[in-house]
This record gives sequence, C-alpha cells and structure tokens, in this order.
Amino acid sequence: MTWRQQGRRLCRWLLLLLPLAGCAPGEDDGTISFDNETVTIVIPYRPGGGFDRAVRAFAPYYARELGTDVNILPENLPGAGGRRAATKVYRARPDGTTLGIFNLPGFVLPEILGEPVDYDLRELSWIGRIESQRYVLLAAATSDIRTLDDVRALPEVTFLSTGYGSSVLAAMQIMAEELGLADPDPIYLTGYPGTADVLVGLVRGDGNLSITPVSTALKYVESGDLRAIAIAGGDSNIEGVPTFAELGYPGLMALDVQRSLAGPPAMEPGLLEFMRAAFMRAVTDPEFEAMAARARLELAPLDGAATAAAVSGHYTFYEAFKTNLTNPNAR
Amino acid sequence: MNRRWTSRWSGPVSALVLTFVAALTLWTAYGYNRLSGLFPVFIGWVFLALALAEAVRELRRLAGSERAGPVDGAKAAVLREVTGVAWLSGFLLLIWLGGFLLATPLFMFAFLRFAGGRSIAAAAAVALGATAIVYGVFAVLLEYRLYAGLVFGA
Amino acid sequence: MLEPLLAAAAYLGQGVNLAYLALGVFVGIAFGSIPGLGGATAIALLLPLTFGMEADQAIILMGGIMGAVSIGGSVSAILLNTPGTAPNAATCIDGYPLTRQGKAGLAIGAAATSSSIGGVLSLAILVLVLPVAKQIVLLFGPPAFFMLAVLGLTSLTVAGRNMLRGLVAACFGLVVGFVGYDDIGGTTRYTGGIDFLWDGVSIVPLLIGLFAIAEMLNLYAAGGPISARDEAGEVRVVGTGEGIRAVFRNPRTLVSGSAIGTLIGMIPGVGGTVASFLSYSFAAQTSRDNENFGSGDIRGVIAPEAANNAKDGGALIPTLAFGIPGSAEMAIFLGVLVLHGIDPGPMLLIEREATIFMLILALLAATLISGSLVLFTARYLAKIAHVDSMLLIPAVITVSLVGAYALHNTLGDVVVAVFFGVLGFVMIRADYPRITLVIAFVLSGLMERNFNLSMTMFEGDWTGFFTNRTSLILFLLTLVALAVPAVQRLRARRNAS
Repeated sequence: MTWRQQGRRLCRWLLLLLPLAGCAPGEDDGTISFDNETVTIVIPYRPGGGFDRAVRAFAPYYARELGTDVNILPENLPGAGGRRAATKVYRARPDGTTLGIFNLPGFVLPEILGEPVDYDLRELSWIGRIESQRYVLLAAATSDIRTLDDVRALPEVTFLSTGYGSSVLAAMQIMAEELGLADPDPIYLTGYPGTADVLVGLVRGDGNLSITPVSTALKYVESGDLRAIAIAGGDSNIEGVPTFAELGYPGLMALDVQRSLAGPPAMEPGLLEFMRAAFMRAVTDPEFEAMAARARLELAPLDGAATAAAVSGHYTFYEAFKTNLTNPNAR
Repeated sequence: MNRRWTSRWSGPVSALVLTFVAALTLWTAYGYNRLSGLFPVFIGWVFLALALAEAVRELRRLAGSERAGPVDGAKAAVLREVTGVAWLSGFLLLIWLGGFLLATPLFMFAFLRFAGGRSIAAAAAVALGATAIVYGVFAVLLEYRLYAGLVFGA
Repeated sequence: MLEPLLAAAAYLGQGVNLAYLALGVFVGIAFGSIPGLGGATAIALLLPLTFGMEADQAIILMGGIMGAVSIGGSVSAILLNTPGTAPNAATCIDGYPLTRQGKAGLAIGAAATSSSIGGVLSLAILVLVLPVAKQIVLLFGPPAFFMLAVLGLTSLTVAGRNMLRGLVAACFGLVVGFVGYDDIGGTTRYTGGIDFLWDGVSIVPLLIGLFAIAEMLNLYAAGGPISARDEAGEVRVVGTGEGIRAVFRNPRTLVSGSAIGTLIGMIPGVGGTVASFLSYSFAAQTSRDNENFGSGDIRGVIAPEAANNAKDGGALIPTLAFGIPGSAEMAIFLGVLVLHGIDPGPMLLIEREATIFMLILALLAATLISGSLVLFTARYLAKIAHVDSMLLIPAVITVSLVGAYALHNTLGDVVVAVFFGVLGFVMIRADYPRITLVIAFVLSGLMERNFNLSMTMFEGDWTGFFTNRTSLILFLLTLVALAVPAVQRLRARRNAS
C-alpha cells in the first residue's frame, strides 16, 4: 500500500467520507476493471496462522495489480477442517469478488476418502500458488532420536498433529507407511489447535515425533529445543539435516503443504485470465518478495494453469495411499 | 424495583424441559464415533443426573406449596413478557426480509411510537438518526456490507 | 535492562509515535465498548495502515488498542449489562446492580482504576517472570489444561447462590459448546442439519444475547429507567472519586485479581474470559462479608477488571515465546508482528528485547491514558443509565444485532443472538445463573480437546490425570474450592454458638 493510498484510507476513517459503490466489476465495454471494488479472500483458518499470514501479506500487492483503489478483505472462516470456507468459495458468484486460499493436499483428502463434501476442488478456477512449504520430521532435542533409523526402531511412536483433515496428519500417515516402523500401531495424538501448539507439545514431551512445515519449525530448531531428523524436497536448507531422498526414501520427497488461490467454478475465461495475470505480476513484485522474506513465507509461485494441474496431481498421488489415510482416531 | 415474577410452575417446568434436553443430548451422543462421542456421553450422563435432581427438588417443592394462592398480576406480567419477545422477533423478521437499513428505522419508529408513546415527529427523527448512525459507523467507516434483506438483497 | 527501557521510552515520546498511540487508544475504547466489534476487529482493521510504518510504530498502535479495549468494554458492561468484549462479562455481575442502585460513577471509577493498576502490576510481574516464562508454559500439557478447566468451572459454580442450578446451566453450556464440526473425531455434532452451525456457536452473539438482549427484554417487562432516581427526582451520580478510593481500600482484591489475570493469561488458549471469571469467583469466595456479591459489591467490579487488563501482560508470554496466541487479539497481533518481520518464537525474548519493552511500554501508556479518559468522562457516561428505557431498548437492541452481524457478516449470528436473548430472559425469570453457562461454553472446546488428547496419551487409562504433577496439583485445588463453602458454613456456625 502506497503512502497515498494509506492516506486516503485514513481520511475515510477519520472523516466519514462517501460510501463505497458496491457493484460487480464493470465489463460493459469489454475491458475488465476492479476499480473501487472489494474482493474478499476467504481464509479457512483462524487469524495468526500460516494461511492467514500469506493472505494478509499478499493482499495489498494483489489489490494494486487488480486496479485502482481495490480493497481486498481477508475473511477468516475457520471450522469443519476448512470445509466451510471451501464450500463458501465453491458456491460464490464467479465474478471474481470472492476468492479463497486453499490448503493442498489437505482439502483433497475428504473427497478421496469418500466423505460428504459440497465441493470439487478440480472444478475451481485456480488463480495461482503463493507458497509451498516442505515438511520436516522433528523430535525433541532432549530425546535420543537422531536418525531415521532411530525413528524406525522406536518401540513406541506417538505422533503429534493438528486435527483430522490437515495436510500434516496425512503426511505423517504416509511417512509411517513408507518408513516401515517397528511399532505396528503408532499413536496419533491429533487435535492440537495449531502448528505452534504441536511444536510446544513436542518440546514438552507429549509424544516423540512430529512433522510440520519447515518455516514454523526452523526457529525451534535454531533455538535448540527441537531436532530436525529429515526434510522433504530436493535439497536440504537446514545445515546437517539430510533429505528423505538422500536417506533412501524418494517417495517422501513430495511431502509439502501448498497455499494456492482459487475462485468459484466457471469464471469467465477473460476474467480468469485477467486475475491470473495480475496474480503473477503481484507475486513476482520485488516489493512483495521483500515483504515475504520478512514474513518467512516460502514463495513458490505457480501460474493458474500449472496450479490446476498440480491439484489434479494431488488426487492421483493421494489416491494411492487411500487405505492409510483414514482418521486414526475414529474407529 | 426487583419485581421478580415467578410462577410456582416455572421451576418444575424448566427443570423438566432441561431433563428432556439432557436425555436428547445423551441419546444423540451415542450415535457418534468413539472420539466424537466420548466426552458428550460423559457430560450427557452428568447433565441428566443433575437435571433429574433439580426436577425432583422442584416437584417436591410444588407439592409442598399446593395451598398457596395465585400471584397477583401474574397474567398482566406474562402478557408484557410475551410482548417484549414479540417485538424482538418482529425486528428479526424485518431484518431478514428488508435488511438492516430498512428494518432499523421501521423498528425504531414503531417501538418509539407504540411502546414508548412518543409523538410521530419525535419517533421519526430518532429512527432516522439511529439509522444514519448505523449506516455511518458500520457501512461507511468500517466498510461492512450490511445485510440487504431477502427482498432487495437477492 | 534499564538501557533498552529508556530507549524505548524516548522513542515512544516522539510526536508521531504518540499520535499513533492516541489513535490506538481512541479506536480501542470505541471498539471495546460496542459489543461484537472488540479488539481483534480493531487490530485487523488497522492492520493495512501499519504496512507503511516502522515495526515499532505498528507495535505502538497495536499496543494502544490492546491496552484500551477492555476499559471500553467495561463501561458498557457496567451501564447496560452488555459486555463490550467477552472478558468484560464478569464485570456485569456486580457492576450492573451498582448502576441500578444509582452508583454507576462508583463502579466506573473503580473499574477504570483497577484495570489501570492491574495492567501496571501485571507488566511488573511479567518483567520478573520473563526469565522463567518458557518453563511455566511447558508445565501445562493436555492433562493440566483439562484440570484447569475443571477447577475454573467448579470454583465458579461454588461461588453462586444456587449450586445445583449453576451446575445444570454449566452442563447446558458445555453442550452448546459441542455444537459444530469436531475435528478430532471428524464428525459434525448437534447441528440439527443446519449448515451455519458447522462452525459452532460464536461467543460474541451468545454473550450479546444472554446479557444485552436479555436485559433489554427484562427492562421492557419491568419498565422505567435502568437506574432509579431518588425521591426528589434528581439524577444522582455518585462520584468516581469514591470508586478510585474503593480500589485502594481493597488492595487484597486488586493484587489477587492482577496475579490471577497474569497467570491465566500466561497459559495459552485459556484466555481473558476465564481469567476475569476466576478472579471474580476467587474474590467472592475468599472475601469477608461476601453476602453482597452478585447484588452490587464493589469488589465484584475490582476483581475482574484488575484481571482483565493484567491478562494482556501474561498473554504476551505464550504469544511472543511460542507463537501461541492467548486470545483473539493476540492472534491477530501475532500476524502484525510476523508481517513486520518479527518472528515470534523461543529466540524472540532474547533477540528482540527492545521490541518487547516497546510493547510493554505502549500497553502501559495505553492502559493509563484510557483509564484516565474514562475517569474524566464517567460523570457524563453514567447518565446513560437514567435515559428512559423506552428509548434505550430499541437503541441497544439495534446496535447489538448489527454488532452480532458484523462479527462474521452472517445473519446466522443475529439469529443466535436473538435465541440466546430469549433464553437469557427466561433464565433471569426462572432464576438460573447465566454466568456458569457462559464459562462452561467458553471452556467446552478446551476441556474436550484436552480430555481426548490426555486419554489418547494415557492410552485410555484415566488415572494418568493423577500421575501428572501439574494436573494433580490443580485437582487438589479443585477439592479445596469445593470445600470452601462447607468450611465457611462450619465457621459461621461455630461463631454463632
């Protein structure tokens, strides 16, 4: 947000100026314009988390690319493991004024597992990917767990995780399957309200292992409270920590959580193209990149078409692990 | 000031209603899977036991007070309570149909005129003033999209 | 320690920064006093404004809001029985009866003073505790959280007049808390097939209904203004000076309230509502001559208000040290910090000492400024209680319902507010306590989550609750809380004979 815009906003605040005109984006003469428009981005979680952070950081830069005096309103709609927010976006009018940020692959899972959901992610109008956070396997620094072999040999494994329907839990279940743990029946301690709570639980000793997005985990590793055992992705960005691939588990390379923007199904091709182009301009804006670095976002921009393809890819990938991904605590 | 009207029936009736709610809670809880049902079942039993205890206590008290006469003015008091709830429900209905910016002046005006006994001019002035404040604070200053009502919004 | 403190003070004293602080305080009071808005909304709304600022300026603005919100909320709690924010609900219990007795000035004076002093005391405690903060947070695992909730519920019910009805209301509150999607078991519960309820019932419309709307219905049924005029027809506003003095006459209540607020605030996820209610029930149970609690005892205002501002100091610890917000305000504030490149986590307390001092100072200044602002205007504010109720009722109902709507932009919340308004009115009439319902509702999710986590941890063996040290201590405290009324009765009997 420029100083000029900021000043204008302040004026509106203090002086009770004219009301905003609330009409759909004008398309009368064939050109698309979001000038003076309000665009809502639905966030499926409470304020303060990684998804919330990504949207709030990105919003002003995206607004600038969409038109003059565009107001992007982040709306937190937590609940039902993200399904409420996803349903809201899916059912919204496809005029570009309602978008959502999606947790991938987490939101793909209920559909794959045959649970009743009111949306199909493959039908959404994908605008682009902002972030991709790789997962890192963690243990408490005070524990004896140092290598992946230690993990496999553990007689009793207790994984800490947020609730059912999160990408984190799915990643853990897939990892347990791929590694072939000595413990035939690991405990999944699910239901922590957020990733930070999981990490503190691990420091406290509620359980012995967890997987979390790397940016949140990093500071606990740096402070010496937690130990990173292995990391997903092609090459390690934590010194001395090997990747799963280097340790002989290439199947775990792909474990990540992605944060992508999408609008309702069946958006006008022209409108979608406009929003995708604006997205790519905003996400590669050096000013935004500087902001993202400060906010520890792991930018991994991907254009709309590629994002849509990635979503389909998730369906194929997780379909293969279908039998391992049921709710471990619902039996 | 503290004119608390309670019929001798209000205690037993509310206790019985709560017992029913508790039983319903418990019955529903048994339909959930293991983890979802664990805590509701536990609380459901505690709720049912406590509500039953309250019901027994109230029914005993009722049996003991059989000879007490009717409370003076009870009927008028009940009528006034019902009117209050009716005003509130009417406002909700108006909001649902016409949205905040239509329901607010209508409700304010009607209430001030018919419940408050103000003159038409005074009631209208306050109603319009209140609507202006709601609009100014919520729609302009805070940029909320106020609900526009079933009739005009959809 | 002194050097960064002085540097922070000098920075805060600069013109622009003072202006940001004042803006924060002004917005904080206004948003705090309107139910449905609250501090979290204020911070979220001003967040884009901070993008162009220095990180420290953003902290000053946010500190101004957070320090002022609860005082704004206490004014509407006292005058209209309408808690501006959830933690102010405890202030209604004795604050509103005082208003009805024509002593609104006294209550506001005491509230503003005790919350200012509570804030100062808590920040002092915070500075002392900072070195061991991490250890304290780590003491509370799932079993301890569960027991803490049990302790909170028990002590509150015991403080009420009618224990059985209090417990029944608490059970109902827990059930209301079950409504919605349960992400541990992965099912929706008690929604009756209504999509809106997937998200559960929100605390703000519930409070707006149970207190503001129920009170307006009650007022309609009774007629007349909230506060009676005396025989001469004069509007009496008992001096706020009296309220200030009342705080200093009850130092024990003030200090215990601040300490409870700071400690509860420090425990992530429990939040200010529990802190202020616990502080209230502690005062109600342990004070001498406590028979007037609930019908206008000034200590019933001092205790929750002291805790209310103190909890912000405490809540900073989990927010800054672990990135686990202690309250909704803290959650959004966390977002502000991160966007300005300040990453909460174990290293923050060591690496960014100056930032923390800046925040502490901003909170302190905001608390004091907003407190004195309210004190100076109390005389005029109190006149609201003398307004004809036929004017007040539609006004309060309108603001309440628009506020309920504004929370999530859904009409569903308005319906929830009306439902709980009628329920609250019935509860007033049938003499059931609304407070235990609220607190049980607040604790419901926390209790269940930690009950389930604990049971999974113990692999189904419930005796684990008594082998965990923190949880055992909390359980023993629960037993003590249960025993207090019996002991008091025994002592009274012995004194009588």
